[in-house]
Amino acid sequence: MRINRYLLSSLPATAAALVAALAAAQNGFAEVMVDGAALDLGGTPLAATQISLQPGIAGPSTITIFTGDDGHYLLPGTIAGRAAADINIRAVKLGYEHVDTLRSITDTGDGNQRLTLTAVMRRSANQAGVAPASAWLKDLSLADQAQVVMACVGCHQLPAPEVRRYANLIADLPGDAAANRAAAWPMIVNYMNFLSAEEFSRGNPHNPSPEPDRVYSGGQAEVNGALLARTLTGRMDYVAGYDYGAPLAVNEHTVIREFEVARPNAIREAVMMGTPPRLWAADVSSNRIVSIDVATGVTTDFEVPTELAMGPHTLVPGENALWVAAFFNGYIARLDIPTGKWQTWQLHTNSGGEAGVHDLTFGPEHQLLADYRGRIWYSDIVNNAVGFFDPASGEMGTYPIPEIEGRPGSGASVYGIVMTSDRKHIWFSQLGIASFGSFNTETLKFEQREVLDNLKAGPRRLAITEDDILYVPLYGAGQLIAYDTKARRTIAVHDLPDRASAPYAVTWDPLRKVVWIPTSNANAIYRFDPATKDFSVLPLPREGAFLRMLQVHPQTGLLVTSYANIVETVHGPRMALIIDPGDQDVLAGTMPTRHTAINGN
Amino acid sequence: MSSGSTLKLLLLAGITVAAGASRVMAADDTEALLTARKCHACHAVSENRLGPSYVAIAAKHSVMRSDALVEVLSRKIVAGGGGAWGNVPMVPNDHVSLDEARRMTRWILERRPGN
Ligand code: HEC
Repeated sequence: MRINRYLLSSLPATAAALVAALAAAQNGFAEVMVDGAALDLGGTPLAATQISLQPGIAGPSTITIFTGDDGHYLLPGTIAGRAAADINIRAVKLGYEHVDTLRSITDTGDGNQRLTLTAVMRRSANQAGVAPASAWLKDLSLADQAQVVMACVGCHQLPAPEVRRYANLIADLPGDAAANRAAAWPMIVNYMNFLSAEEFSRGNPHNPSPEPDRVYSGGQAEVNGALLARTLTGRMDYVAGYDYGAPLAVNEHTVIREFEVARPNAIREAVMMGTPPRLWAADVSSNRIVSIDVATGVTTDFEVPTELAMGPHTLVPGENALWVAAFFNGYIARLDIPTGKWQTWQLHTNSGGEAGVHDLTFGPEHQLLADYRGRIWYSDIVNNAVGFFDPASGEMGTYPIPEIEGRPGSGASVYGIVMTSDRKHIWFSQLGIASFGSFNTETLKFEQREVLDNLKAGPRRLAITEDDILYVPLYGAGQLIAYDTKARRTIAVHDLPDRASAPYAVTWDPLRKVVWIPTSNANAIYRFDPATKDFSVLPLPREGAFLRMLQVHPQTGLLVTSYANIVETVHGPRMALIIDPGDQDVLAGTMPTRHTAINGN
Repeated sequence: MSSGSTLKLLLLAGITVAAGASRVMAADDTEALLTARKCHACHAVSENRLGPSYVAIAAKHSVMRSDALVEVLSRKIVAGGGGAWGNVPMVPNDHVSLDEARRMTRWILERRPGN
């Protein structure tokens, strides 16, 4: 296993500890070691309880760890620059409510302090605020779940807290509750259509801000309004009976580090790159990439150097470079990481129209992968095509994807795209018409086509393994397809632990040989082990943990992702994340060393 | 492909939305503030859209005009709520500060016909 020692030594925990020590020396606070436990009201230790803490110093804005089997936790590193009395935790466990925190501070004798924070947890049938948005959809039919996810969750969680608040306003009205819902929800769909239309006109210089009346009809207000009216009934401050659907993939070594990005922004994805590694996050609401120093949390903006490239939304790491697809005006940009220099390409279709670049081809390591002739391929969501450009020669071209008989001719939404190991085949998905297929970059012909029965299945962002096994997440259906691209046959279709979780993407993990599945609606990342066919769940520490893409950092095996909330009026966290799943035994020596247990307790 | 059909495709794809253009405006331009805070998604000056027109709102509340009314309506703008115009509640607008809401309310209440 190739591992870069320098990178390891500059990982966040260590670096943050250094910065912390520096801060401590400067302002006279002791260094504080934090540990504790989670107990129920009967004093029984609770395993796998999320403990979140805001260190309030350099580095991540929030660190989350989990209690082990004995109910104990230990924060890696120490906190400095803050009085121990100001440090607090938030404990979260499905089925429980955090009712109290017991504190004790002891001097450790070396001038430092040990802060023990014990979370007292009360059983609670009401899971509101702890269970994810998908919990509210658990009793719907699979067809309704798929429709809700496909209609709404592409842009924000449903029901997000704001949606639940609105449901409460409806429920509180006098009169016939069903009639009130039937009147109010279509209005909301129209409103959302307006917000979408306004967003999509933003980056287009040819398109003035939309007239509300014209765009209300965009998203089938009657159909989707009726769907919401029968889905979101009554007051929505109570939900019970949700379970994750699979064992938790966490232990006492799991660490989730969240880095908040100053608003306003609409961070859509993040990757970790460079030496020492930094986070790079795409802000689709502006024209910039935000770079985050993981040791200090300090951010630096890298502006894409053309006003026409609007809304960076897809990031693919390359060789010392970050490749960026922008939402508007057919731009691809390349940021040279060592020098900070940009290059941009304006792509167009064969007929001279603007390309609608969505994703760029990558391989098993989620690194940019050009074809055997050095051409980079992309999915063109606007023109339902695959296209290429050659960064060396500037040559480009597009190939419209053939229609499928019996499927809508528009709204195909070609989405994910990956490259096979021979670099002669690309595989793409079509989110809107439930299809995926391949294109031969040598013959320049479309080859295989797979059409799923369920039109709302929602094949989204793909991943491919070293052996050319394709993984396809079904956003609407809440499933995972494993597909053998060489034999051109489906190996299996797996139900996800939560069918309303809205899996936005899949990422192959070449270090662990597992598939990670970031979800939009379940505040969770799923882990799928192809050897055992088992799923497990990595729960994220907050509501609105809407995920899109996930990177496995090749040098360390850390998981990198971001919350991808974009709707301004549906709030949600704006953060990039680094996750250590805590599986050092699996990676045997490739992961950073951790604090060992402290004596006594 | 026309911008219109592009827009439609993107809408169908349901990929992204409303990140936050137009955050800046002249300090005293209340009409621009209404647009920046997205009230125009549902309201217009004289025509009913998803919500009542400003002229209709001003007319309805022309009987009782007081600081208390301004306060009540401003709080409703931020918190959302229904029942005054039918069975469709207004959404909570908590991206709006109470001070901004007061300014908007005063401006809306001046939209009475003949004003
Ligand atoms: C999603 C649509 C929507 C948006 C956005 C919206 N409103 Fe409304 N508004 C409504 C509806 C519906 C009503 C009627 C509520 C009722 O029946 O009580 C309303 C009512 C009102 C009223 C009258 C309240 C009353 O009791 O008479 C005012 C004033 C108002 N809105 C101002 C605003 C302002 C200012 C904004 C922007 C910050 C805004 N609205 C944004 C839908 C909206």
